[in-house]
Amino acid sequence: MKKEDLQKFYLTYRLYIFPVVVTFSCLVLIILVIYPETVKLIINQKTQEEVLNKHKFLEVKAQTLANFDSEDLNKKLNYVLSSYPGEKDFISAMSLLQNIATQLGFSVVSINLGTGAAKADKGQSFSLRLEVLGPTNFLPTLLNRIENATRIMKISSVDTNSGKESQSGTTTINIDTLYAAVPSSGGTVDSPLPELSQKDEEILVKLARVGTPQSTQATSQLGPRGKANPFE
Amino acid sequence: MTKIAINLLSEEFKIAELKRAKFYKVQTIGVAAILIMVFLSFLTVSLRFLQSQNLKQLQGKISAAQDKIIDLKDTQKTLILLKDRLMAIDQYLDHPSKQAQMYNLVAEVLPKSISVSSIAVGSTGDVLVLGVARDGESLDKAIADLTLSESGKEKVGQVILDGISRGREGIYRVTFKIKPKG
Repeated sequence: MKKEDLQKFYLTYRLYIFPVVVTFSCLVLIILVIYPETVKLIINQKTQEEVLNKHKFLEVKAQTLANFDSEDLNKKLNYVLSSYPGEKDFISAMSLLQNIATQLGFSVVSINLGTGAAKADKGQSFSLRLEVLGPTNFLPTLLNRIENATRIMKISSVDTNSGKESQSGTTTINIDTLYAAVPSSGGTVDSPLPELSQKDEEILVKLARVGTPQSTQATSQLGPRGKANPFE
Repeated sequence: MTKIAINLLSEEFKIAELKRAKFYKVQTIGVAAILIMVFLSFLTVSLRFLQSQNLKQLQGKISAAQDKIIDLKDTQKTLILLKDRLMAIDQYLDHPSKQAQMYNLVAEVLPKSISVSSIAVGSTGDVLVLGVARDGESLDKAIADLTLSESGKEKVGQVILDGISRGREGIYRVTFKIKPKG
């Protein structure tokens, strides 16, 4: 077919050929460009919103973390860990018990490690057996002091014997001393930050009132109790 | 005066002109349609490009924020541990154990006329009391106080008289068990 024939053919049928070509071109543009791009645009809009929210969350989290005074936070953690430690703190718990008992006028006969090791709701505990001699009317106070001490301890059993007409007696108290291992994971980058509530702050104030080195204080107050020279 | 209209154009020319006019119309509409489609294509592609640029920027900002958080990982760890411990402490602090509550109740409620020689509070909160009552009345009062007093009603589930003996002097040696509620 010659060029002139083609031209002649087009000129004869251009009224039909042109709209067909235009429609075809439009369809090609719609199918290959407009539709897929619009679909991707809509899908990416959702992704963009998610990414934007994530960005806002991370920014706020980073800002919040940066605003924390790490020194103050560590101080608070020390209070909390002295109250609910990560490991068995036999010595400090024993010293604290001795301190509480002596403050109330009891003389400590013995403090032993108990046999039972209970598992508390979240953590673990070791048992201490406190044997005291002293005024039985102060026993409720002693029990309350032990349970309300900043070091978390719970009475598991009490056995008290007093002589006839006597106001003093021997009491054996089994105490569950709670502790829980410090978790190794410290949360992920995306995990939300916990907020310290008013109640948490109140607990911290309460713990801080006694101070971190409560157990140390108790130990230092007691001091060395033996002879200076044991060979004398 | 009437106008005289004389059309000297041939019929074929007239048809050709009409066809041409029709084609121009179709051509205009076709070109407009193509232009609109091209514009829409350009618009969607541009918007997608801008969107991916925005996403890239946001990803960059996210990475920066993540780096900041990683730098402050110790603070985060401390905070999480602090909160975890505070929640645990809150469960125990100022929440006396059943054992302490039962001991305090017995110490508070038992009348002075009963001389207690032994009180044992078990791990379940059961209390075993060994005592001497000077008379039956004080024994009755003790049991009534344990079960009917405000705090007794709240905490005591059952009072079981395990043993009772009357001595020559008229005193009662009693053993009773107090079971807590719940």
